[in-house]
Amino acid sequence: MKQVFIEGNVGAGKSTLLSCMADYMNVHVFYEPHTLWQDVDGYNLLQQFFQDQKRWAFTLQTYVTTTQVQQLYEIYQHHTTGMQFLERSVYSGRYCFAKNAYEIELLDGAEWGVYTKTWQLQTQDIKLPAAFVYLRVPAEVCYERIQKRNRVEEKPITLEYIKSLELKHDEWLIHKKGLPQDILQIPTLILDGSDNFYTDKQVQQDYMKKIEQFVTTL
Amino acid sequence: MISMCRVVFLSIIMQSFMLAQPILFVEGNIGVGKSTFLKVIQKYLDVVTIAEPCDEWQDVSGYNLLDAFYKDGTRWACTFQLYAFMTRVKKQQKYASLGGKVQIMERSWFSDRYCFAQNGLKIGLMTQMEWFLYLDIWDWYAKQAPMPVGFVYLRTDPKVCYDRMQERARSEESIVPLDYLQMLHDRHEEWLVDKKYQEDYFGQIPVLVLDGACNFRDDEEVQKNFVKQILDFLYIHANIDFTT
Repeated sequence: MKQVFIEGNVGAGKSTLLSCMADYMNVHVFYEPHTLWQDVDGYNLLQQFFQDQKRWAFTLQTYVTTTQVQQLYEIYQHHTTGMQFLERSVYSGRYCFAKNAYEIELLDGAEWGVYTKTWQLQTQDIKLPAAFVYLRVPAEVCYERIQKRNRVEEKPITLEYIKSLELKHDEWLIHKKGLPQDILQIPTLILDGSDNFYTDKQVQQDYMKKIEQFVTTL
Repeated sequence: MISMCRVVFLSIIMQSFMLAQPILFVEGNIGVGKSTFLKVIQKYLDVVTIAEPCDEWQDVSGYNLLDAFYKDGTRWACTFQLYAFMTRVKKQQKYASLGGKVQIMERSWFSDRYCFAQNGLKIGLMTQMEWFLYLDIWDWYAKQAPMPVGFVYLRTDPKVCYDRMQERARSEESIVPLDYLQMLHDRHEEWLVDKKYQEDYFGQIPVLVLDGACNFRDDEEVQKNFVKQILDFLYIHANIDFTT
């Protein structure tokens, strides 16, 4: 079993990419468990977060890790072979979203401490990824798509927030800043998502070929 | 037939696993004397005692989460409860890797859930959503963590705890009012005596109730009696015999 994680900003087109791959290649794809964050026993945590980020950033980030780890264990149990593609990882949770939240002071020092220690415990037994695919789309383009798709939770999102996330993704997946050794070594494919990947079948084909080529080297 | 064999085989494995690392959790209200109790037991029995990790709650990368929780419960209860139970699981894991002896641990991830978080929910420090989320995470870890042989409940009137607290006068405890002790007492009683949660996955763990009002700190007769009851309890529920 090999797991490749698709990373990218909000609105980059990760799930579109995944559904293309499910059609194009013989692989299992798994989407981010965000419906669980929208329905925590009837409460929409994602929405609460965007309405009051400082109050709910810790809660959301911790719950995101929880659901991701639960999803991984579910996969370990039922899909033990083959190549798998997953939308986002516990690493983007920690090295992009939570880290960003800490730096822009949505998480205070105590929350960051609790989050990282909890994260450590939650992820201590998961398998390392085989690779990352970074769908890199300029913040402005992401922002435009977010406006267009009009998801109710995402309405309060600002361009500034998307830009801060872009910076964190770049630091992590391109400049490899502040990573532990085992994560640092994981191969990463960068896809330039500024092309019109959403609608252009030719671009989609081209991406699929790049990914296919990349995974044969793993 | 095969599945039957498997069940028997598994239960043997689980038993030997349990015997390799039997754990007792000492439960009781603030001020009842749990750490004194641990010291007393260690005087008589060759066991590993594990203190409550409250030092970790007072220093989360330099921040005092316990203090934040006391000052603004509504804001910090969920964060604090999550951290409290995580640090307990982690501390037990650390000691588990040492292997061997019987472990006696001060409080547990169970008291976190059934006393403290439950109380936080009841008095409105945690929202329904936070409670659900807490439980989701709690369940996941509790089911992977080892099952204890049982709980030793140091049971007493909250007034006794209150008086003992005044006596030892730790500075950070001066703010714990009798009302709060009464609430925690009620949660302990519901859980360990009234067996309110016996339908739960963890509802069948045995409980040894000891009279926490006794002078177990100084009176040797009381100490010996407590030790005997613990030995019997270990023998009955985990087939552990210290005398051989």
